[in-house]
Amino acid sequence: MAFRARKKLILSLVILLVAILSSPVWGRGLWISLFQDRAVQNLLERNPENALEWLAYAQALDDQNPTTKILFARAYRKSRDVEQAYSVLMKYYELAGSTEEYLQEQWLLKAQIGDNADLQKHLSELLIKDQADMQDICETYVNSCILNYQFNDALKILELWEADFPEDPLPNFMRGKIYEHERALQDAIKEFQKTLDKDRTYAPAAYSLARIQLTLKKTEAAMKYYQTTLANTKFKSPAKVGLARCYRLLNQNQKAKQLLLEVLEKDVKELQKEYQVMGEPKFLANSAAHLEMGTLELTAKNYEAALKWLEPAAKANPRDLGIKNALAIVYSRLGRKQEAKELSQTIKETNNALAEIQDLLDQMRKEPPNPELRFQIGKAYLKYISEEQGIVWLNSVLRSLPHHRGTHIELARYYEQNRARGESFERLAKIHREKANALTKKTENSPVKSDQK
Amino acid sequence: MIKLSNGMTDFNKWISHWNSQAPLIFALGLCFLVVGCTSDKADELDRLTTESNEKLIQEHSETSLRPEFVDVWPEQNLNFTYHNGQDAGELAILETLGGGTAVLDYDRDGLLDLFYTGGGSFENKTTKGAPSILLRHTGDFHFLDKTSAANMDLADFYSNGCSVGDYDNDGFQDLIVTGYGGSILWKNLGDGTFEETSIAAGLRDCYWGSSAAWGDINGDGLLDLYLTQYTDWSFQNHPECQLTPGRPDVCSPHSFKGVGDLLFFNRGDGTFYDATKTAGLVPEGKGLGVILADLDNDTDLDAYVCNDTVENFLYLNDGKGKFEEVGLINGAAVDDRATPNGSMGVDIMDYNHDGLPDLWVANYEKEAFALYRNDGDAQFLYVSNDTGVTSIGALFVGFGTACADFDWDGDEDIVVANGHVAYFSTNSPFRQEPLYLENRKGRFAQLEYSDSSYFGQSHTGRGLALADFNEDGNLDIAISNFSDPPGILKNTSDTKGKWISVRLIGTRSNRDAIGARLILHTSAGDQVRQIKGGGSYLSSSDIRVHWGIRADVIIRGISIYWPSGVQQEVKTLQPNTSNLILEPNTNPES
Repeated sequence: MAFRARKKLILSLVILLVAILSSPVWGRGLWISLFQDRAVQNLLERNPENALEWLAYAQALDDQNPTTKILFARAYRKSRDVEQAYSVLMKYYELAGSTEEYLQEQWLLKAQIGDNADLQKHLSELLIKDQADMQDICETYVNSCILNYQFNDALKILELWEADFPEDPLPNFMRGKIYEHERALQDAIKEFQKTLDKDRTYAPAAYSLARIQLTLKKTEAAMKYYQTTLANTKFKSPAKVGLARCYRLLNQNQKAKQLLLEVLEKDVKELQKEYQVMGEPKFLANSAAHLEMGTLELTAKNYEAALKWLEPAAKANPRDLGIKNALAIVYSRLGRKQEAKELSQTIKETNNALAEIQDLLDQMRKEPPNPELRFQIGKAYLKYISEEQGIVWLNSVLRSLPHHRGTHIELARYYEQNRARGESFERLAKIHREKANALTKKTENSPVKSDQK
Repeated sequence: MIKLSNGMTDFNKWISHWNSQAPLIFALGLCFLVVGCTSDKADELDRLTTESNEKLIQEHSETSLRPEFVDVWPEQNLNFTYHNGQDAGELAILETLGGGTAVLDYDRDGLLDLFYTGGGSFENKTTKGAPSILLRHTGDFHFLDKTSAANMDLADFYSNGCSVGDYDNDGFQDLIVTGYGGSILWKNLGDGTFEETSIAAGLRDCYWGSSAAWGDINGDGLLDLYLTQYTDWSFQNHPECQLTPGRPDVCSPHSFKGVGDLLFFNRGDGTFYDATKTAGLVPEGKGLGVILADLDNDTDLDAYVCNDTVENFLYLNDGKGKFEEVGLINGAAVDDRATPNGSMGVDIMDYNHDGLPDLWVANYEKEAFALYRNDGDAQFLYVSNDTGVTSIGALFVGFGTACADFDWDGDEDIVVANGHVAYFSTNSPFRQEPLYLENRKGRFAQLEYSDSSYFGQSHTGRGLALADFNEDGNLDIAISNFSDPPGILKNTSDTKGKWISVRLIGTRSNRDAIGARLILHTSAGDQVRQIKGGGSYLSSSDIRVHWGIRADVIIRGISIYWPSGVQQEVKTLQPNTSNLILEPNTNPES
């Protein structure tokens, strides 16, 4: 009897094992649904990295599933990988066509890179219709407003957002970012502090507070917030670089070096992700620790060693004037005066451009819809300060003046110079060059010259 | 279609629970590696931070002398205040610069006298000068107004700065007064009076002169003049501005273009010629401060110019009066983020005892004051962050400044006169406390003062000059305030040790010996000083060189590198008094 019972048990277990092992075949849909649900949950919890992992499982079972694709697009967008998001969204379109989800995701993706015209147009209907996505929509819209200097619009949405989700720390965090951008540092500190009051483990807020304290030259306070950041995130590298800077400022160079070497050992892709999680641009992955190391060596008068760090940093972050300045000094001390002078000239030009941009921004506050001002600002941003913001400003010109020749020329030039960065650059280079050429031809043939540059 | 949803099915809840628990279970085996390792790192970081904080506290609690200053201006019963014309409500940027002060012994009675510029006012959209004041020191910190007696009660221009230099080498110190629309050159006649000679001397014309510095730039033994100019403001270029939204205020310098500085070479016959172009001055700049000193130790005078919101200039001299501007490539034009600061006051010192003159610059609020370390050949590095300078915060708007050994501990400390330019500023107050930064082995710490001390009270500081009025070795300070009476700060510190003061008289070199480098040799090492042209802000300190020396340190003589190229060794120096040293009449080649 006992033998028979044991045999029955073993048989049941075998059947169960076979059933489980074969479940990807007979229960594929259930598993996919399960993984997608996990991904959705992670997206709601603002954990796009985990969402991507769950979606990878879902994709392994069915790589033609449109839902998996749209979730992938969303997860990539939320992890700020715009190019991947775009690519996956295109695949979704091939599978499912222009669905409501596709359109919404497209608006959000465009807004993510600063073109928030569509999102702005559909914002109220989206927020009413889709309460579940409200935080995502608000977050993306606010980010796009920040890119477009539409701070008042951003602040209004943040107010609504906070009213609906009073426990959500993100509205405070984003308000802090706006204030920091506007150099209202005390207000920014208050908002970041409120963020931490709501969620004391919200590492990007502690990291931002540390950065502001460093701006305010309060090294010890900055150190405290970097420590808080380190204790609450697995993405530790940005805070380690910040802490290394603090040590350098306190003449504890060996400790600074120790931390920097830990960061520099890491894979660049991983570092990029870490910086993005902290709300920083990903190019800092290739330049922040390098700059600190370079500065350490420069201060110690080890000019060859400083060069080794500063040259790659300047290449990775070509618009950072601090790196350029340190590099110019190193060139000068190594007797490479011509290179030093050329860099100095760029620094001077950029500082002049910054002063001009400030004037233009002041003017724009008085006359916001002026596309010619936006064009000048976009051109200067693109050349001297930030590619991302430059593109946003220039695209905003085309929204009101789609045939602005100067803008198409600038954009064509930019995308042509960056063709190697991907298909989308190639495609946009072609679009803008064709438009620029057509407009040039039209202007030449016109009896009255257009006043558009 | 999947919708992001807050509502969860029981299955989802179960999965959610599994999802949250599973990593925990799987992580158990790894926790020693992952969590343990992370905790170790965090502990290590905590330890490092604590160590560094303890070290800082220890450094800051070092016992040291806190110099004390008493303002003796109220005792003088003088009715003088710098006027900036604020009452007219014009909100002109001209109002913001304020005035300067100069220390000189105009009557050569051995007591240092004082001069304060008077400023001006606005009437019917024109500027008008206000009288300056000359104060004769009669001893023991008593000063008498001798402006009229010295024939100096002239107020042709709205005045800002002043600078002392014996441009005719007659042994009587002369004075230039700078300002909006023209300069005044006061030639000291040697009988207690002055004569205004700017037109005859060729120094009258300028747009808006701020600081001036005397120095022999072309090496001919005669003092030349570097004049910084500010912006192109005029009543025809007078926009309405708000520094705080909704509050009309003076405009920032961004609203104006800079006006190029001027350089005048001395012909030796009482006249000057404009050498601005031939010397290679660059046309841009919004100059507020200037110092002439030998920054690359090649025995000629280089120039460092503080500009407001644009890059500072570093001019290196080829020895014949030809300048090359190398501010950016030599690391002295901007801060560590390559941002030009709003720079006002300037001085040099050797803060790290490496024998090289470092640059100290007082800047605008939200910027750190700048310390540029000289790494040799006038190659500078911005080290404000690394030397504790930034720990004073970003509230101060610094103007007149000076580096000197106030506490006789063998290194140079720093004083700064502060005060805001904006009438309605939200970041920091209009009136601000002066700063005293003590040098602690190459790191600077701000000393705190009580409310009863001048340094513990808020003022509207602008010009600042140093002098030892009572020759007690404690350096006193003259301050020109923006809209309050000036300050004459008697240093009453209980300093221990000894001091050396040296006054050089040039024979082959210019008589004031501006540009001379002096190395005091002591048992504790060498201390290097220079006789500088200009410096501070709109002001002129006494040209005597001062060292403080700890009691246990033995003085072993002094090496002097005269601007003429003559090198002199003096083995015996009298401590606790002023030593007069004449330039030997030897051939520098021999």
